[in-house]
Amino acid sequence: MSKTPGSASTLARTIINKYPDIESKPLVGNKVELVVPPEMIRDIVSMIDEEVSDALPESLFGVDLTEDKYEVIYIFWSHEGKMLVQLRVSLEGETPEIETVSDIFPGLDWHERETHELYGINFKNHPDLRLLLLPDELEGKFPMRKSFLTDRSRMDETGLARPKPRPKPGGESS
Amino acid sequence: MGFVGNLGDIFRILKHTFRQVFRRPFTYFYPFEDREYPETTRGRHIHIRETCTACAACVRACPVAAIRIDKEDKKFEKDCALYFDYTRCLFCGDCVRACRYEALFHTPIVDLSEGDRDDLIYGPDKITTLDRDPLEWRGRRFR
Amino acid sequence: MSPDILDESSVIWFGPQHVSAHGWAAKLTIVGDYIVECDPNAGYFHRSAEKCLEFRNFRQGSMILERICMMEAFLAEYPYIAAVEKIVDLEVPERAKIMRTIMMEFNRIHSLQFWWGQFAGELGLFVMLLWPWVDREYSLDAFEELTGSRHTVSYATPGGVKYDFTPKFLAKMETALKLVKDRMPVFNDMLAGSPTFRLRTEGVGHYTAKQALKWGLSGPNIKACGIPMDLRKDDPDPNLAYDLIDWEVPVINNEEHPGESDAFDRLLQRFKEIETSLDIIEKLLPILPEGPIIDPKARSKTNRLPEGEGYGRVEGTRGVTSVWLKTMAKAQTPWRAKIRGPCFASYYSLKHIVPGARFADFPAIFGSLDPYPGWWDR
Repeated sequence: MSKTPGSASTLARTIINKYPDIESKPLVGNKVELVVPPEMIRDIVSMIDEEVSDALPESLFGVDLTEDKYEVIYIFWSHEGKMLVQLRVSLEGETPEIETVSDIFPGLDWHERETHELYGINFKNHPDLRLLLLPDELEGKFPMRKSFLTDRSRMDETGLARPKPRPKPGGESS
Repeated sequence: MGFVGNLGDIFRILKHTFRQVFRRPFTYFYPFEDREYPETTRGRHIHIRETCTACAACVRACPVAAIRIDKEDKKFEKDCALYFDYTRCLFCGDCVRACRYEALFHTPIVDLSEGDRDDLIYGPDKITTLDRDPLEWRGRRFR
Repeated sequence: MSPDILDESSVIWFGPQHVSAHGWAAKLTIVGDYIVECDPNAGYFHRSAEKCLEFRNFRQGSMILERICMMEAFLAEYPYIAAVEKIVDLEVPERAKIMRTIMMEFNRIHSLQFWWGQFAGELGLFVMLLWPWVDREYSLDAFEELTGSRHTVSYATPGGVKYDFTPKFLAKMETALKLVKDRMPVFNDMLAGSPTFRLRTEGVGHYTAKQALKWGLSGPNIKACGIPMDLRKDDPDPNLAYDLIDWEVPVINNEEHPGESDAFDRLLQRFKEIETSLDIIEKLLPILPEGPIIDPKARSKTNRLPEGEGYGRVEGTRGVTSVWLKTMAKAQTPWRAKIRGPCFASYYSLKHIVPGARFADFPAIFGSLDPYPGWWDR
């Protein structure tokens, strides 16, 4: 196994050879997307760290899919391979838990803190899960969850008729 | 290097500073003198009720809900009254772009200030008229 | 660090009222004149832009985004538009592509002009605080001539751009760019040639390329280490015109410490960035074709988006700026919009760069990373 960053399909094949549980989605350009079970995230991230020598931890964030389903998405970018790696982890439960990767990529430290305070996703073994952006009174309210309702009274002031609520999810028009 | 070695650098910097001293000052005497605003400037709006059709496209386009529409208040055949809340307005220009009937425009008046917060909500009287003309003073624009 | 040294330590807050700490604060543990621990605090500007975006439709969203970073307003709103265009598969007319790119580079120049002044001001050189800001007025005048607003341009829209170039704008842009070009050697003398400035920045805020990658630094901060990581070259957005012309990624290679960078390298790197941006605009202006500036079907296409995920990225002035967008079927508003600000990483990295530095060097380290509070607070 070479240490130089290769193409996205090579990386995907290397990872799937070692961990057959992982699914990969079809490639668009030089982009690979892997669906990772939550308990294996540390293995995969440390493997990316080994295989891709110039991996840039670009982003980490949560997505609320309602009904206690969450996704955590990790995005890595490699300059030499011009390759984008996206890891997708599905989580469930009232307070979902996942292992931290902030010791492998220190740049994801604050992203994890932010995801913790906004979505209530607990990162186990994270050294410092204080509030990052929120004021103290919003601790434990998890404002980015869809169940956190915001004040929409401004829309009533416009004099427009209220839009009819649609059955499908997709958000209200503003 | 020391001080002597840096003398060349210091003289070069002094030369630039010295040149700058003889330049025209860039600032304006603002309340008495104003800069030229281009026609595209996105300042406060003007609402032309003659051509308005009360389609509410501007209200829907507004990202911050700064416009209130009153469809009952009719002056002409099918127009409406608009209330602009300049405490909220972002001056993004989307309401003007959304208007297909040439009834809403930006004006180059950008210095909106009032003593009272409520005065910044421009009602149908204020939003359809321009109360200020740019005045001339010693050959310069003066407000 | 033995514990008996820490007995002598004192904890002070740098900011949020400090003049060079505009909207942020760092808790510094100090022993004598040396900083032993730095704990940057975020959240003073938190306006919850990501939640706001969930209630705005796809044409309104960019107004929220450009208010995150006023200095690079167009570069900040663009990733959102790119993400929307990726979900709907919108193709932008050729003229609009080139106009977007020109405007983007012009905005980058403006942002870097602001940074010159800010960096020098933080180090106490008040002459250099004002000179670039005077020149910046000409760039702002050109923005105003084109779009009607000086900072928050809201220029692009999904499917094209909003306003066409006018001869008046082109003339004003030429004035502004000529001024930048003429004053570059002057500023080079005043900053890079100034002995005081060199003393304060050389050898300060050291990091290696490997460290910077781990922290997630991007843009000029990592190009100063000699890695030509530039999204304009590596992963150009299909609706921008960077691949139409021939240009080179600006990169600094300091022979004294290859693969590392200090505050002075990052200053030189940003000088080079301006040269590249000037070069790109110069090459794009002659090939600007005639034609429509917006796809006429774009408006109806962006009313309701299909289900999908789009990742729009652009090389901002400060690094990789991106928006990750998820939409549900027939959505009028995004389900989730994640904004990745470049300064989120550079502000975090203060935690690792600062310990060991002198207290007086702290503004130099901070200023050389070019952070803007809006990007980490959003």
